[in-house]
Amino acid sequence: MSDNASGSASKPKAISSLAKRPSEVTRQGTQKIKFVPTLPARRNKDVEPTLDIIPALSNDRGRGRGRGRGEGSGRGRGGPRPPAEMVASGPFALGPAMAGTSSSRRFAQAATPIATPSRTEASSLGAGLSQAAAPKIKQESKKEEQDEEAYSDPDEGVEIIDMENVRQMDWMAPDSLRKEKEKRLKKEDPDASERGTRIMDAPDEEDDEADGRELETMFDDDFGTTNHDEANVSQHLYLFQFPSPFPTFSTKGSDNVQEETPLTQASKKVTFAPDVKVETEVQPSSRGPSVPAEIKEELDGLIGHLEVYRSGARKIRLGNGIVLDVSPASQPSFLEHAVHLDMHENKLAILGEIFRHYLVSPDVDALLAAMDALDSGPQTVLAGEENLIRMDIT
Amino acid sequence: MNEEDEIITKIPIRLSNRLSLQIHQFPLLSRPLQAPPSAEASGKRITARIKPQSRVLEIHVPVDTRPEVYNTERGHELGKGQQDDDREQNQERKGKGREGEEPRLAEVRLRSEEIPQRGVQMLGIVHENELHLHPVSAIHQFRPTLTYLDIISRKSRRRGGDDSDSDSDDGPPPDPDEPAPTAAPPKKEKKTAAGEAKEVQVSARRIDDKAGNLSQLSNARKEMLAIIRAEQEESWQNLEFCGMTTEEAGHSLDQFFSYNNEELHCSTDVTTFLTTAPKT
Repeated sequence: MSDNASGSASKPKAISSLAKRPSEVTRQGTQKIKFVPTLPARRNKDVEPTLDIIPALSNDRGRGRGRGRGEGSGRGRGGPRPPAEMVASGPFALGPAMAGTSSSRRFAQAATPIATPSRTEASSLGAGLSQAAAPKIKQESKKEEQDEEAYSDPDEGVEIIDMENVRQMDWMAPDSLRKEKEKRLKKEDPDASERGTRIMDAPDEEDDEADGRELETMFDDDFGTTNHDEANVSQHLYLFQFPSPFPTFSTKGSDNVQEETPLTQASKKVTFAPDVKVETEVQPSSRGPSVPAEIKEELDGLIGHLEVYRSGARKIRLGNGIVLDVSPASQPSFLEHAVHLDMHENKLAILGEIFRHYLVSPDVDALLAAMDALDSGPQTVLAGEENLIRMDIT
Repeated sequence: MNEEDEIITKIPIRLSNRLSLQIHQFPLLSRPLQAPPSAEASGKRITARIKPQSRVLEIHVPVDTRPEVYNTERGHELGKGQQDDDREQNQERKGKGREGEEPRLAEVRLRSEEIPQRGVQMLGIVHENELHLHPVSAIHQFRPTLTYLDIISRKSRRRGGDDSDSDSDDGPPPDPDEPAPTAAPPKKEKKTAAGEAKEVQVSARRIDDKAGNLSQLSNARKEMLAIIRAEQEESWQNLEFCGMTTEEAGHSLDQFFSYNNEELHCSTDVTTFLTTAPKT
């Protein structure tokens, strides 16, 4: 401010914007008083008289003053307001833009319960609502208990609606957007035994911290913060995307026949040796290598192991040295059903909603080692050549 | 991955493929697929039907028809449109309830599209500390169909009488690269001034051009039209829709799991991921 005191005669050292500022000097040459809002974002009535006291300003300052006062009272709108203004109260006081965030901060009163929107006599809006919420998809249930707001008792004719709980008002009520949680409670690392039962869900927690909280659907911090019990976990449906082609499996004892069964069409990734529908004790060789009646053969058995590491990585180890990495895939935010379509009985049975997506990819180290072995495999080592180095001419 | 990484748990993986498993995605839906309680109270349920050859499914979900959330007059208009649409496609449901009552739009029809799979999708459930895998045979995405709106707009357009292109039987409009159909006069028929509209079915036929490459284009187009035609002509088969909580679903879930303890033998190698040419 002091730099520009001499007006246009001196060149200002730093030009922050090329727009012409309104001149700092009145026509008489005296210093104009700069308007600086002193009381930001306060809604008291005291603000208005204070602003009035500021001495004569030019016209454009008046506009700014109105805007300043508008901001001072927390409204997003511009324009001057009359000083004798009612202090706004209630959930919609701060204007439409602030409705979503207002509930958490402005109205915390001491220990009064939320006035539920069951006082329907107050407004006709709530008259026909069924007060029963529509259920959510089986995502992690949010930790709404800790965020419930306490409201002051409503006046007559006013119905308090917590914008975050609009969902509970009716079946057809809209979903509110979830707020960003500032911080999550840190859970200490439980022991491995408990982790063992939450195999698929547990190790994502480390990733959670890193990825922040934006995509709540992607990594949900479900380990320890949601109410998963044992029964629930065992019914979660996971979708794994394996690389194609899926390794072919066959039952033991029948792999002497038709080993090079060509990989079938894209939809059936698992090809099979001739049909051996095995019960537990029956010897598969007792049924001869009969001709496979159809392409899709029954398959039922153990194929490998899923290993969970301390670092959180998960690997799938199948037979024949196949090692695959498991990583979380991007989670869809919509509903997905796993469905059994039975054309014989004309039945469409929903098995459940899919909980998480995982992406399975070959473990690169194992893959490269296997490729090396494949490339150098067929060569035989002649006597006396063991110590020689082979030149790679591929 | 450093070597100090130790294994905490190791669970066996089992494979089975008894069922014909599908994934149904509902991109525009973020709530569970349920009939609203008011509809369930009046006896409506979710129903489904399928066209097996064209691999198209439809799921009909009843709609909340309470007066607070449903516009009844509009419901009647749209219901009429839907009834006409069904009649046109020979899919009218026979004798559903009261005949005297005006139809109204009381359900959302979700139509499926099959999505090509990338890689191999497997559904996994952890059961008794074992991971059971099962391959997925198809993925379908469901979106609401609003074909009744087409009928309604077609009627209003004809009533309006302007020269817009209402579709004849053949679906897609003429290819802009190809010469315009010469049959301009028979394309439209306006209603006579006094009273009822006469609807005439017209088909625009294109004269063959000298250029030889046209035949290839129209071959591809013919195939597409044939596919569309086949799908339209195939009739629906009704399916029994069993929700998650029903007994049939529980029965299917039992069939999902693998019960055999035998170890299966793997006959391919990791390298097949690289050496086998990927199927599109």
